[in-house]
Amino acid sequence: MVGVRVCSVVLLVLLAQLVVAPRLSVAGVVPELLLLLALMLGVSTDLERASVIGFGIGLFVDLNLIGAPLGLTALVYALAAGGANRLQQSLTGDVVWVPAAIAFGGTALALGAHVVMSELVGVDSLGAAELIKVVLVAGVLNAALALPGNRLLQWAWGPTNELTGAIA
Amino acid sequence: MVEALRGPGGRSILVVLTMVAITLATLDALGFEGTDRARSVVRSVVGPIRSGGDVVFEPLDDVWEGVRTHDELEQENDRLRRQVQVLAERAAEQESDSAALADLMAEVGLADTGDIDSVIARLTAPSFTNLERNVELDRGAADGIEPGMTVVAEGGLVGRITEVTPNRAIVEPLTNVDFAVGVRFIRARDVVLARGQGADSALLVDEAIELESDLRAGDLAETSGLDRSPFPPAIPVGEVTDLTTEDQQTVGARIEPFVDLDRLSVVRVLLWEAPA
Repeated sequence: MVGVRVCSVVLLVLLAQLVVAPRLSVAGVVPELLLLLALMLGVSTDLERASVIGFGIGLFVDLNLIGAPLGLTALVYALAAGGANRLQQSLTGDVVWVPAAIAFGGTALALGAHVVMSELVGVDSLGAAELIKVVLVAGVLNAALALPGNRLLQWAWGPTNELTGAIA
Repeated sequence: MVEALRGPGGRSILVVLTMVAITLATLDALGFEGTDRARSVVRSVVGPIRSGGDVVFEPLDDVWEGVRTHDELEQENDRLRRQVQVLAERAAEQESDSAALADLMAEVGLADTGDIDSVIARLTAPSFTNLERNVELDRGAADGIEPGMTVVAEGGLVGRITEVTPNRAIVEPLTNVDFAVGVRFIRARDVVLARGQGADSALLVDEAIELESDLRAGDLAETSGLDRSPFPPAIPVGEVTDLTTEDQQTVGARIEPFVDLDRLSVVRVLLWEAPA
């Protein structure tokens, strides 16, 4: 049952990214819903599951990109999910703004890392000015959607987080 | 809660995933057929989903565009009506000049863009990720489109085809960071290379401007079509907006593209291949 709910959430976000997100662009920047999903997976479940699912989501993005090496986005998303998980672990107490902060910072770092790693393997990606704009706008959009996204994932994992045993 | 989030073997899974990613990238770089096939399969699934989304959201898109651009469209409509009137008057005067030009171009082996077969295509929805700024068309190999073909719209150059499936084609816009096109400044006659600088940015020319160039802001640029250029000649590209000078010599320029990529809906793919 947990698997069905998690798969449903992943498919829903995938559909939203493919069909709805391009129509909700702000200043020409598209919300990075799939990246947000990877980050919130890191916040809501354990590192292993978050990294593997994040890797799969990133691989789907890679298979749709032209020019970027296969596996690059998958690696970035897996590391983003892992980093979000580590950061969530290191914070004590239940702070409401943490998912939003992780969403903003994680989006900025992940997009920046993707551009840098693309350049390192000789693939031209976003220019510097464009990267700054994308990072800021996508970061704010993801931060705004982080709380409902986190709630959605907590529902998917179950009221007692059936996989990890944690109480949501 | 913290212990539950930690999970067993956290670091090792990241190491494994990193190695898998490196393996995939290596296979991709080596041209492994499986990766191309996987891409083709995924895109053949994603394409219809996005097309379905276009159909569902088209009425909403039209309403939103109508509200957003109503005043601009009215002004542009008036401007274009006046322009059509002026051009119609000039057309008759220039008929004999056109015939002479066509003879001259045939003599030196240059193609006339107007005679090139083309395919009309519509843009599907914009890229779903910021990591890619390419544009997708609703036509593909089944319509004769091949990678490398030039894409134009009312106003001028849009870009070139980079990838084709049976019913879809991907266009790399001329503003992309790794896009380069040989241009000729119509008045100053310089032939230079213009490079994309990213979305919403002008093309950059930073080399090969002649020492005694008379280049000015407002000058118009078109594709040069020289030296086995992948683009046919005389396609409008843009207008010079900024000049960079050193010791009173022009060393650089920025070209603002004529085509507004954000407002494109229909383009023409020129079924033309560069001479070998």
